[in-house]
Amino acid sequence: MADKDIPAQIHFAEDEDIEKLKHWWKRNGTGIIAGLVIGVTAVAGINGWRVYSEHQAEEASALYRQMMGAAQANQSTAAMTTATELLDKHGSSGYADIALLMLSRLAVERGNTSEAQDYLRRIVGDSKDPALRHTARLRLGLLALETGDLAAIEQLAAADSASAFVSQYQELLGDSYASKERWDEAEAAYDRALAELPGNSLSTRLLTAKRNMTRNSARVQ
Amino acid sequence: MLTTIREKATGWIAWAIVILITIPFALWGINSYFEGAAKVVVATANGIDIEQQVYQQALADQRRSLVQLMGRNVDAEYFATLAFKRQVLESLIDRNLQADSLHRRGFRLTDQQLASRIRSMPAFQSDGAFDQQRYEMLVRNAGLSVEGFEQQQRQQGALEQLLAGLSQTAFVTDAAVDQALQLLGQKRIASYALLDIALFRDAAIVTEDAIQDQYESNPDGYFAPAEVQVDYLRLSVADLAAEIEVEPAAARHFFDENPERFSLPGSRSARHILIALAAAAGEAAVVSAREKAAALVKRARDGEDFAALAQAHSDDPGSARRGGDLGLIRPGTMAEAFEEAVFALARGEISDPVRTEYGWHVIKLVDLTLTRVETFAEVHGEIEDELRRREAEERFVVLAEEFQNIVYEQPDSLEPGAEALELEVRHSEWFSRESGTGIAASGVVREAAFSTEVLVDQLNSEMLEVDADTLVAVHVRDHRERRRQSLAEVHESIGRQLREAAAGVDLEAAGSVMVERFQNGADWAQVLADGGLEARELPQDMGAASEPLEQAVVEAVFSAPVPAPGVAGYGGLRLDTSHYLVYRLERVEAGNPAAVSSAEREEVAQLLLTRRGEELFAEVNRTLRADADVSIYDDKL
Repeated sequence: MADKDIPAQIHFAEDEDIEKLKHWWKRNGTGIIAGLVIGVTAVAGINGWRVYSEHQAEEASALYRQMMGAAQANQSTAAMTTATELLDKHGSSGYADIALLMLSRLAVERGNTSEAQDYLRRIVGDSKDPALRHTARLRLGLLALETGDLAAIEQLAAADSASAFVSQYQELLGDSYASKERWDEAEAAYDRALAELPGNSLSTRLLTAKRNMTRNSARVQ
Repeated sequence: MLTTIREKATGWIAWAIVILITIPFALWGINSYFEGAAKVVVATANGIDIEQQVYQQALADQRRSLVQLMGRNVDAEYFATLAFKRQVLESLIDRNLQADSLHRRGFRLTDQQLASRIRSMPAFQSDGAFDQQRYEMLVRNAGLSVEGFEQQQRQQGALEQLLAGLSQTAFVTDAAVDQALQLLGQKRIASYALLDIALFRDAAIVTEDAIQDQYESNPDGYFAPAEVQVDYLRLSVADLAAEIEVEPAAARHFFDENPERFSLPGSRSARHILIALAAAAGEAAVVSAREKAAALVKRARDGEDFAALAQAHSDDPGSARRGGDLGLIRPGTMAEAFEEAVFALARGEISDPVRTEYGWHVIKLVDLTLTRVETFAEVHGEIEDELRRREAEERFVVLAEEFQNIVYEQPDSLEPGAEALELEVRHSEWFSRESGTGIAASGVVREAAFSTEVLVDQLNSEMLEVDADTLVAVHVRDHRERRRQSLAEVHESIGRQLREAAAGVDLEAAGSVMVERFQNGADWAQVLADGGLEARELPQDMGAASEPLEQAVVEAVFSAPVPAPGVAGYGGLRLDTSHYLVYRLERVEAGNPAAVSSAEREEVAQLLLTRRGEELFAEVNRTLRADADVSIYDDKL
């Protein structure tokens, strides 16, 4: 009877399926399990890395706060120690750049210009942030101005075809030309610095005064 | 193949598949599939989407703060301009870029730093301590979630860390401070005189030929812009009010019904002495304070000067300094018991001690004006105006809808609207898209009049809201293209222009001749006297030069070449269209760094530092923006 045949057939089909599956599993099972293990490990790893780097960032932030607090309280030794620790432990963090700026300021205050320059050059060379590189470069310029090193300043100002920081670079140039009594160039530089400066501020007043002083009897003659 | 899958999708195989599908949902959350749908993005910056909802919020915030800043002077039309919207969006983009860059570079606020930052904000404190409920309430009121606000604060805090880092690591050298002090403290000893163009106007000759020549040799000049004249209907509360008759009985009724409106409240001016008591003061303290107050009452009633007593004994430091004077006291502004006592006193009388939450008061009434009720005759006109206006406003609301429908449904003419609403069709003067008078003083009207529907298709404009009480619809009556004006039309203005130019040439010539004479050794006072001019001393302080002309003089002299020591320098220049400046610069005195106090020196150094820090920060943002990949979708704004 047909009624009896059908279940047998189904049973038979199922057995065959299981056989096939077992065979398939033998061939691919290790691969699937390995894939799953790799996948899960990767997800766990990424999450773990996130937690770890978040933790690192917060640690750096705490150190940074400590450094700024010490600097504000004029505890230069403490500020220096913290800054160095910050550099050692979190060298690739954005806080490290500011730690270097801090170290250079402290060196300037101790009168140690060449040490200050070393710190700033480290930023110019290593920092991932273009704005911080410009900042360091400008501060190097200020130090070069002290020693009257016009060539260094021209080089600093020209190095990057800076679309930002133009006003600051031009003011530096103007200052150094003025110190060499190269009035025409100084005036041109100050004029560019003024043109790039947004709005009316103390900077405008000071820059205008500097620009005006380039027009003097020595030049008119 | 699908059949195969279907056949196999039974038993544990199916389960295995379901579990595999579940994994990504469990890890990345199903919610991301739902959230995606509603987002509208107005701009992207370095892959960060700025959502419309966030942008709308920023727009509303900026609008609110501008309104607060400028009050009623704010031009509401400005808020609808693309310029305003772009400005808000730009700063939103900058903020997002900053936050993103700071985050990537590892700038973080720790949970602890965030907590102390929020806890120290005065807005969230009550009685000097942080108040969690108040905090949550205020944040919600501002339309933010607590999480959102904390996220914002994290970003803001990280930003401040960078700003502080840049400015606190800046250094200034002594030489730079010296230079700044010399420059900022600079003085210029000089005198000057101004030649006025008025002296040269009469002598300037402008011939008929010159005018004609000027007109003909400038074929691109002397154009009048395209202009239109419109018919318009105006529905305004003021017009409606003018037609309304108020029945005398109604005015009387209003007067009788609203007595409080027409009584001018009386006021008292008083002095007081406060013997303060803490809120939790015990029985004994209250009694002893009362005795102290009673003693003062006695001394005052015995004729001692109340102001002096207040100054010596009052615990209310603000009023004690003014001899206890509280100024005018209006009903409802003071503690109840205090007010009751004040209003019961006669002029010059001194009260018994009065108890309020602050302690015991001794009060002296200095002066009083009584409550006065205005008579009907006095306020009759005022009431009628008000009733008229009220009725007019009601009619306005009803008519406005009809107005809108009728100008829209019968777009070819304003007549049907005029008939239905009993309005008059009025005519405007000629006006251009840029400016006009009367009805065309409104930018909304000018824009509508020059729109395609109105100007080209000759249809009615839609109903325009000129202000909250005035509605207008316009229909173009006549129109003229941009055209060159005839010589007759512009004759006078060309004449004026040429005369001014000729006088200007003479002015400059006279001025430069003078300067040349000075430089060749002519006497300053003599030459000025010959020219009928008066020499003035240069103000020593930029701040003292109050009017713009004088400021321009100071600026010019401060920009002049520095003369050699011992020799005065002379110069001159055209200061503005109508003045020529000649000056004699005696000498330039640099500011003396040695003469300023160390505090002042510190201040200038600090200014230089802050300036460097802030400028750097602005530049940092500029760099960020210059390197960013930003796209803005104007159509979504």
